[in-house]
Amino acid sequence: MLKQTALHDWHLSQNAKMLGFAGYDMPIQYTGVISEHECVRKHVGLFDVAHMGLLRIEGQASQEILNDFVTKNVEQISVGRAAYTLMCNQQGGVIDDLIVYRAEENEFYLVLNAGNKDSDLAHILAQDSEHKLRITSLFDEVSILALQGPMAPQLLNDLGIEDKYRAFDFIKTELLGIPVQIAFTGYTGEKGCEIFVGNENALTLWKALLEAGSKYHIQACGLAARDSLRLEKGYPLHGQDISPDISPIEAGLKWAVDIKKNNFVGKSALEKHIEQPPRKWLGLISEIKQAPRTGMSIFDSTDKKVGHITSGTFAPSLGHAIGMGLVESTSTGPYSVEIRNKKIPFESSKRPFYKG
Amino acid sequence: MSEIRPELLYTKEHEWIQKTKSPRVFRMGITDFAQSALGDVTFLELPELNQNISQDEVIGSIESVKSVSDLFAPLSGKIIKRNDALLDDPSTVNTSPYNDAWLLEIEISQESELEKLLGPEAYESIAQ
Repeated sequence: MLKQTALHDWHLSQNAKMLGFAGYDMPIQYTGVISEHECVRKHVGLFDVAHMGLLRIEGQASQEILNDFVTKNVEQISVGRAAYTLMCNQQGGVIDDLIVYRAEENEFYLVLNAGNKDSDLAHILAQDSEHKLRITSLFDEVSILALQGPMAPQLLNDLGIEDKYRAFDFIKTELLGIPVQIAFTGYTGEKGCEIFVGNENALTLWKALLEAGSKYHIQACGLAARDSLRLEKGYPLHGQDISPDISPIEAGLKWAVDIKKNNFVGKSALEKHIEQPPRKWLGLISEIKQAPRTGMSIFDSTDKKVGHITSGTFAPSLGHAIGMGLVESTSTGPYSVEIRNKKIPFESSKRPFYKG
Repeated sequence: MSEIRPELLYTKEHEWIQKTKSPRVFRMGITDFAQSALGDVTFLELPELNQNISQDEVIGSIESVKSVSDLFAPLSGKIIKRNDALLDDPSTVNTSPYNDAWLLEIEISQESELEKLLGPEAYESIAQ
C-alpha cells in the first residue's frame, strides 16, 4: 500500500499522472514534463516533495555527533544556514546525501531522501549510542513544498518575505499567517526555496502559493520535471549516481567532503579514494536527442568497456541528450555509449550541463 | 479518456493501422493512448526506406523524457514511406498522433496478417 502526502487528493483532482516512488503515490506530471520543466527555468514552479524525510536533532552534543557521521564540517554551518553533505559507510560509499539545516546552536534539521529515510533514521540513532540527543522524526507530520524558479523571490516578496536571502539561508517565519520554516535550497538549480509546513496547513499554503503565483505563470510540477531539472545541473540522485557502492570522490563530489576534519565514518576509505580513485565521474553531452539511460555501457576510444551511465535524459533546456556516468579512473575519451546496439559518440562535459 | 478512431485497426502494442488508397499499402502510427502514456516524445528511431520487415519484430524506438518504448512492425512487408518531418519535431506525436504523426507506410506482403489486428472495440478494452 503506497503512502500519500497531505496533497494527494489535490493531485488526483488535477488528473496528475501518479506513480509509486519510494513508497509514496506521487505526481509525476500534471500537464507535461517539458512544459513544467520550462516553467521552472523561465517562471516559477511548485513541487510537493513531502515524501522526503525531515528529521529534527536537538541537544548540546548535536554538532559533535553530526560531525561523526556526515562529510561536512558542521562547525562551519552557522545558525540560520544550511549545507549539502553526505553520510558514508566505512567503505566510503554513500548511505545518503542530505541537507543539514541549523536552526539554533543546538537544533538541526536534516532532509533525507524518501527511499532511504527509514534506514537513515536507524543509522543516525545508532550513532547516538549514548542517547545524548533528542532525535524526532517529522516524516508524517511536516510537508515540504519546493518553490523554484527565477520568479520565486518576487513571489515570496509579495507574500512578505523580503528578497534579501542567499542560497542556503534557513529562517523560521510566517507565510500567510501559517508558521513555516523556509530553506533557500532546492534541486533544480534555480532560485527559490523549500518550505517546511505542518501537514494540517499544507493544502492551504499550496493553494495560496498557486493563487499568488498565477501572475508569474506558476505551475504545479511533478517529479519527472524535478529529475530533468536536476540532471541538467549535474546534481546527483541517490540510488543512481551515488549509492552505498559509490563514494562521493568517485561521483565527483569531493567538494562536499571536508577530509581534513576529525574522524568521521568513512574517512580513511575516502582518503584512499582521494589518492587513487577506482572510478571517476563522467559528464556526457551529444547533439542528438536520443538519451543515454541508466545502466548503458560506456566505451573508451579503443572500444573497451570502461563504465556505465548512472543517469541520463533528453535535456529540455538544451534540446539534446546529456548523461552522467562512472568510468575507470585511468580511462580517456573520446567516449561512446551503447544505445540500442549502436555505439553513439558523446563529448565529455563538466557540470552544470545547463549554465543558464 | 484517450481517443480511439472507429475507422482504424490496432495492435496490442498500441499502434494504429490505416488502409490507404493504394492497394496493399497501409499507414501506421501510435495511438493517442500510447502518446499519453509516454509523455512528451523527444526522439524517434524509424526503420530505413525499402527495409523489409516482419510482423511483430522490433523496427525502431520512441523515446520520451522519462522512457523508451520499442516500435513493432504491425504487418510484414516493405517500408515505402517514412515521415521524416517527425525526426525534427517528435512532439507532433503528442499533438497529432492520428494525423500529422503517421510514422510509416508499409506495402504489405501477407494479407492474412490483417486478421490478427484488433478492431476499435477490441482495442478499447486494452487501452486503459
